[in-house]
Amino acid sequence: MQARVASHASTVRVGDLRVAMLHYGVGTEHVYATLIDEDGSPRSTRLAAVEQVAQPVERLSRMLRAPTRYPPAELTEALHGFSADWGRRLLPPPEVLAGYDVLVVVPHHFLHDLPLQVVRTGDADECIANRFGVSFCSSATLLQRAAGRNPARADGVAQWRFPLTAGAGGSDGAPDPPALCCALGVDVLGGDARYGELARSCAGHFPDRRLIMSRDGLKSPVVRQADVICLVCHGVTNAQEHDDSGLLLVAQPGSRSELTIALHLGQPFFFRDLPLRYLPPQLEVAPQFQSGQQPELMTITEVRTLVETRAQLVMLLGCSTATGQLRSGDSYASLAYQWLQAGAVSVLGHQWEADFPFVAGWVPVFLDNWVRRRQPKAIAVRDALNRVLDDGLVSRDALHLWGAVVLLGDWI
Amino acid sequence: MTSIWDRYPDLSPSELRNLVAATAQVLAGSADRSELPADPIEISTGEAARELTASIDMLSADERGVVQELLEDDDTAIELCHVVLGEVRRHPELASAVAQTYEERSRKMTGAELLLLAGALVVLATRIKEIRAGKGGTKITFSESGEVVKAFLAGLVASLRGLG
Repeated sequence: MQARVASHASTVRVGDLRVAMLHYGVGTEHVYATLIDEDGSPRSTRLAAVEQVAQPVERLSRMLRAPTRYPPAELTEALHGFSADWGRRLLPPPEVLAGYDVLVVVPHHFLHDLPLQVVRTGDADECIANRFGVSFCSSATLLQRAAGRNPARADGVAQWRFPLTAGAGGSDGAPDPPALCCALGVDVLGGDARYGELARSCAGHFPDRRLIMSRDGLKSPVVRQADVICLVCHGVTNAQEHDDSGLLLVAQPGSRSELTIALHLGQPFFFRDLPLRYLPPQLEVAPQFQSGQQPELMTITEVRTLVETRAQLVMLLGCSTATGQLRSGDSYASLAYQWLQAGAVSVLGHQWEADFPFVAGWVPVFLDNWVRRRQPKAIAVRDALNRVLDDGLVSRDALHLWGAVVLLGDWI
Repeated sequence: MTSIWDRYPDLSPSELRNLVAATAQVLAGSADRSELPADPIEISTGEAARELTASIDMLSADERGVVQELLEDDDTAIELCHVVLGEVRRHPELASAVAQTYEERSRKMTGAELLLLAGALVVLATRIKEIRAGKGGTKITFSESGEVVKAFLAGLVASLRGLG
């Protein structure tokens, strides 16, 4: 398959991109995918039989939820089996996808857990994430809300022209780039200063930047107004109580901030902003966090209850930030989706472990693509992945290192 | 570059949990899978106790509860892990593969290992006869090490017999 616009143009209009929504349905006997293009014309395809894929899906999902519980070679083998073999049965035939540039995937049921972005598109080693701009959204309703609040979708978005290749000129007619970035980077377990440096480096792509010092700082008015939020930290997964999964951050030094919550007839009440859950007691924190700034966990429940944002992009650069749990009504609870529901337009997360050297290598390329070259986010993710893979940051075969990256929400 | 083995056995509880998990990953990935239960690192202490009492002649099936308690008790679980790690350390290629896996785990932006996977480690150490480790796939006979671990576990159980 060849990108329709990528093959002949150095700059591309957003309006010329061919975008399709790939809307899945898992039936009792088969998996179905409906491809809906810009005209709204649906094209349904019956895919794999459920009984053929249910077992491998369950196994791969289990492995991706707890990759350290499996030998690395077994995880690699499972991902490759999915990518080159049975995962392809979960995609419409290549000729149906041919010609599209962007896929917006709305999974259903067990498909929420799968990294469809690493499925190979053809006989070569090109995967969905290398060929298409891809974004995922757990439901079409959430996608519509995310897209509806995207300031980049103002009038004239179709005329927005951006370069596809390096050195192909600048953007034209693009909306103003995001201005305010709030960033927080902390490694409370290893005390690795590179987490903070990466957060600062991400913030450096934006004209107005604020470094946030703490978990409670993420609820401050300035963060609520931020165009971009970048968090570089450890992710913690709680298999028993998934809503207690979250990010390992730190407390505000000194006095606690207060939350103002209107509880009764609009009457404001003031609460100390304590974390909703303590850290798992077994966690050993780095010496610098044993006194002074205390580590704190920001859970999915806390984001659901207390976080509001209008960010165009929330970057959750930590392990398993997009790993979720299927809930009733086919909703999918993950930290990344929770930020989307809190008001973000798009969220960047990881479906399993994040490898720090890879993250530190590809994120600056992505930000350059998105902020300076003004590529739409999904295209910026695709091109950044391809660039670092071409440059040998990691091997294309190392799906377990690069394949975890997912963009959720609006693709622009 | 320093290895985790340079500091062994003076490790923090978190380092020990991570080293045990890394060792279990290497053992499970280097052995013939037909020798092992499915997903051996995910095994619960109850299942591990059942596996161990079934496969160690010196233990009887009705001692399953005792073995499970040993695997769940902080002190004895740590002792058992040290016995296995001591055996692993005797094989340089294997120890090196474990150290490499340990380092790779530390590159991940994930929370540290919260459980001491003593059950999984002991089952792996006692079931595996042969391992291929290192870049050249060096064949290592691990059955003797397995016998050491079995004898230690059986000794722990024997010391508790009659105490109930």
